[in-house]
Amino acid sequence: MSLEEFTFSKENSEAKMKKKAQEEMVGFVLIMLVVAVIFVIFLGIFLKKGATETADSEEISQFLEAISEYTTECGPTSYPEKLSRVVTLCSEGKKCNIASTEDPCDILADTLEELVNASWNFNENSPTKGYQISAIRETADGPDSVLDRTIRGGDISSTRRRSSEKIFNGVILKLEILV
Amino acid sequence: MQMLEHVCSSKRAQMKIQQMAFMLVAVMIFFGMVALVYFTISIKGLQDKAEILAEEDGRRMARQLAGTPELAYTVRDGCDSCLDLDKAFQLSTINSYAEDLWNLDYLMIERISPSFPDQKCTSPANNYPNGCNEIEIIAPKRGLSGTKTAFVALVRWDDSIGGSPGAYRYEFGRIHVLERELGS
Repeated sequence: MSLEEFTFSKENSEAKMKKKAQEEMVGFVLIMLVVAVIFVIFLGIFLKKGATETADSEEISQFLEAISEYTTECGPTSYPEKLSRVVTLCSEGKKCNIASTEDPCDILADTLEELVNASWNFNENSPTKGYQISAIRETADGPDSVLDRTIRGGDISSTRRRSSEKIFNGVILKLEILV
Repeated sequence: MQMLEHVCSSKRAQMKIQQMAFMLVAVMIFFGMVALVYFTISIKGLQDKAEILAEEDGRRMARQLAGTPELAYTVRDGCDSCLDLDKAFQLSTINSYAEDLWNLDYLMIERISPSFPDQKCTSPANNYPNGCNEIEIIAPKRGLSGTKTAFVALVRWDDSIGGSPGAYRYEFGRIHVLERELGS
């Protein structure tokens, strides 16, 4: 082999090496990109799951069960109605008492507010930040709110919440506690 | 010349092996870090879940206690969460009965709503039922940390409602239970 031949062969070999190295770099970048994309997808799914995390709560379920029998101020003084009956009266648009103008929906909202506020503390330093109560009735046109106003309190901006619901004669009473 | 070519090629091969080794190590470190982040997050979630489960288990235990014959409201069926407040009050007046019956360090019934004065119920002549909000069946034997609570409906006889004989009034409250410490 002459010197020219050797030089040519060396240059050719270096060019091939460079090309191979480039190919390897492109391959490595591609692998890293694929891994990064998979990582971002997983991270996205994980964060999305955490964003609005709602868990069923035994405590709230017990609360709703215990208040269903609660004696309210709806009805005649000597024959007050239970909370479950007040929910029914409110959804049917009836009055607490024929003689009075008391609205069962107002009494229901006030009673629920009072019971929730007496059961949990809602402030910045407590583990519970706020609450939201809804009473929904399923109709032919879709879900319909039984109460005129939304019952909520404390800081309701938190995204983590514990909730439970109970059905009272076709009305779904749902309590969400924001943590 | 052949020798020179052989040496060059051998060096290149060594370099390639080194490159590959570094690459593998880098990829392993990368995957290791990703796995570390993932496991840290998931273990944190597991700890939270375990705490919630333990808390809910305690609540169920407290609720089961409310269903025992000594405390349950049995006048009508269909109220599993109802606790007979009059029975509980009577039980609180019998010293040591409840302590021998249940393996507990503390048992108290709190009346949440309607609100009553923040006092222990002592006797019908003194403040029961309208002047107190705590029925202490078993006095605390130790610090109250670890006490489990459960919401219950409290039922008591009320002469002021339901006509002449009276009727049952349903209040809302909470049962507080502290299990006996192991070895005590």
